[in-house]
Amino acid sequence: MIHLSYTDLGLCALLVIACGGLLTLHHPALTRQLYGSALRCGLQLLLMGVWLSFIFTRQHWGWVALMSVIMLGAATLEAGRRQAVPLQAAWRYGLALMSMGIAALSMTMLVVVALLQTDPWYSPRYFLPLLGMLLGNCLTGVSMGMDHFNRQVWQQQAQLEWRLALGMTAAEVIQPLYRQSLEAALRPTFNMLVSAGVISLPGMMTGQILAGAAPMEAVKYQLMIMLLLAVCTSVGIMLALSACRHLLFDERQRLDLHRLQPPGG
Amino acid sequence: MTAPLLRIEDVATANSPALSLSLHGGELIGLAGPSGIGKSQLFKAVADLLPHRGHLWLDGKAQQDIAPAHWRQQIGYLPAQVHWWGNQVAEHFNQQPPLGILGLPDSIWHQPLLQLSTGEKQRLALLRLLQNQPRVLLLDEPTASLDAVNVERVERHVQDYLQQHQAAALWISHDPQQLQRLCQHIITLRVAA
Repeated sequence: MIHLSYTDLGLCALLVIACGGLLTLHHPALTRQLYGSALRCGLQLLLMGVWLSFIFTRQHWGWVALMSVIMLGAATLEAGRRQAVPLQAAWRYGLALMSMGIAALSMTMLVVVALLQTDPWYSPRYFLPLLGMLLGNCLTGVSMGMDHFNRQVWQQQAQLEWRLALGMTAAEVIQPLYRQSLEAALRPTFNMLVSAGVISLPGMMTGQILAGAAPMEAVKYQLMIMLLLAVCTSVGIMLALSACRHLLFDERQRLDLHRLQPPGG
Repeated sequence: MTAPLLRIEDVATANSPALSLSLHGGELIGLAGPSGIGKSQLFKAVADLLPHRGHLWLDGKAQQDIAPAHWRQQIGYLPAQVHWWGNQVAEHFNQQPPLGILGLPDSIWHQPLLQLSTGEKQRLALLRLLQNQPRVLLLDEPTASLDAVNVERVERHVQDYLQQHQAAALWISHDPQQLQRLCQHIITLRVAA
């Protein structure tokens, strides 16, 4: 493995500064955003490195649990943001937590216990990076799915009501929107699967190869991760959308949108 | 006197006055009142599309004892403005209705909805509603976008339907002459003092 020094990282930072200078000529406001984002990224990753080094040396399930809770909490907050017609905060964050928690935690457990058979099963070196990758993708899917679904329901409420008036059940009426939202939310995952290895070299695999791993070993790990990402994201989206679907009708199958917060509402 | 087909007792939503009445087979009752008083809201409540207070019975059976989808098939609600869900007319029907009876050409069957006028869509909506063969019709300004010839067609078709199926209807209109022409009774909603 070729050792990477802090001087090397400093050189990369210089490149970012130069890029900012170039960007100023085209869009000055973006330069500040580039510097701010890069600085934040650097601080977060360095802190994460220190924190993970500490946890790796401890090997205690309590630290792994604490870190998992923090990651799940951050993913929940992120998934609940940027919704055009969001659910009320408690429902929005509750659904994101439930769907991502079930999907990502169960999938991570499955990998460490059944596939990798790490010892102990909660070995932080494996458990935390896997959970992080699964959560990252799951949150994008859940966030996109909820946003698409709730926005469509809000925009098409008159049409949904007319179909209910014609004697269709709530399940029949909502099915097309449910499918459209599922498709929209899963599209990036499918794109990621079909482009891997042809259009793009996935980040984890590239990282492993650069760190000195044999290419085929890196490929096997990457493939495992990709397949798990697809399953985890699909399960997370289906859980979140199924719950949304039930929240937007009352016990008499009437469209009940009081839990949605429309723009300006 | 025969038992009522639909009995409405003190039904009201958050934004409408209360309504109580009994509808018998073949009967057509007009509902009048100023814009914004809540006539459409009352229709939605009767069709069980909005939460409401009060009680409803269809053929003596309470609303809460009838499955929502079945209730809405029996109580056919036609909104003032219909929002279709597909692209073509044919997608929305189980089978082709008698289009000519409301002055619609057969060619309309395979046309995109975007190409139709408001009046054509309004008449299609009535035909779609009647395909369920509802026992009670709730018609919210069903002729608002029609010329005189088509107004007469719609009125006659509804009256024929009520007679043939011994169904009943509530009809909202801002045209007092139309209500007097069609309805056995007219109920005028007023803001509570």
